Amino acid sequence: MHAIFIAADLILLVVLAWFFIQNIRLNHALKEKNLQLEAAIKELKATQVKLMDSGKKGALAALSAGLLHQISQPITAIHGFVRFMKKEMDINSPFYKPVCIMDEQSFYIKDMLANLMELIRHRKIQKTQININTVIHRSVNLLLDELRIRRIGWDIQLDDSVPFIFGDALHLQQVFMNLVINAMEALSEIPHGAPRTLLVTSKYDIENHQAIIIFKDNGPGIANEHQAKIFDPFFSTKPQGSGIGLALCHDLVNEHGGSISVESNHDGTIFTVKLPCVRLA
Amino acid sequence: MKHLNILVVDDKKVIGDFFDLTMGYYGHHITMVHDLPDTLKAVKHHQFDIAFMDVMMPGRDGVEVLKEVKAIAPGLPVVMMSGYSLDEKRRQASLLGAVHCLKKPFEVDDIRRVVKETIGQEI
Repeated sequence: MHAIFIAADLILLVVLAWFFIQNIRLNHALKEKNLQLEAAIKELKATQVKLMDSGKKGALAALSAGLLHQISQPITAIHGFVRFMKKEMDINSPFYKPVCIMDEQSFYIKDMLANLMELIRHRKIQKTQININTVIHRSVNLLLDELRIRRIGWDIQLDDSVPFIFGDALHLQQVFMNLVINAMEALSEIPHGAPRTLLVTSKYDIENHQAIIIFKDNGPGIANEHQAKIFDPFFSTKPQGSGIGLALCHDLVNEHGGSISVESNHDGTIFTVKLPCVRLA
Repeated sequence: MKHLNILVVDDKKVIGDFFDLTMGYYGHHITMVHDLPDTLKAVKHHQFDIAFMDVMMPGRDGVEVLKEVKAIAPGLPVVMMSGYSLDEKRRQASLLGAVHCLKKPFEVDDIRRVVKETIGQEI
């Protein structure tokens, strides 16, 4: 009789142990599923934000294209006539100076339209395997005169180990030139005599197999509240800025599967562009 | 300097006025038309040295207008004008024989440059 009880206790113990183990397993599986669910929700939210963002941009592009076509007609007449009048006018005329101001201002609108066209136009990206260092060199070389005129001390430090990028050299050249122009404008705010420096570097991030291109200036920096909006279309901290240049950079880098970010304080600003490198088969 | 006969096809009157008041000032003769029937009539009955044609016409694609113009006057040099970048339309226009594309907004010097590049004439 006693032996039967012991056997029954043992069976009960084994059953309880089995339930206990199952419970631990289930708990563990539940925790894992919860983690997966949390990750999925996080990803979904990120996708939703991206979709909203691209939706906004798509709507903005469509709206801008229509507006551009409409605006380009009167601007052709206004800017064209003002240029024509200025050319044919006697410079001693009392109207000459006002016409010059009109010319300058209408040129600004014309220039802004041209930039906006660049932002919204859907030029087919022509990607090839490119050496990103060559593109950086070319971009800075095209702006050497401007850098000299503005008395900016510049340096380029390029990492030869960066593998090829699969990208559109012209688009990326435009990105890098815009970032250099942006730095030049920021550096112009530094009083004459104080050093103005721009450092452009490239390096290879082996872990993520990407190229990192950095544009660092010692300008007055971007206010914290402006940094989050710096890549938004039409946002600018400059009185004559169109807010298109950096938005264009952001779009073009995104089209290459890369990212662009900004860090800034009163010692200067750093723009970082990350671009995926070509994976060899 | 030879005075040119210039055809301007644009539904926006102000573009025709711009050509008339600037190029006209320098002695060139400008004919402005705003739709397809008037364009075809003009190229049938007059001899032009060059035509400037908008890519976008109301209810009508500028490239289609170009096709019909080229059927009547195959030798007429045509410059397409566009308000914003339309690469595909430019490509189509180029295949149909448009020699240049002038991006709006443009100014007198742009017209001069395009005329020089198109028909080799300084104006």
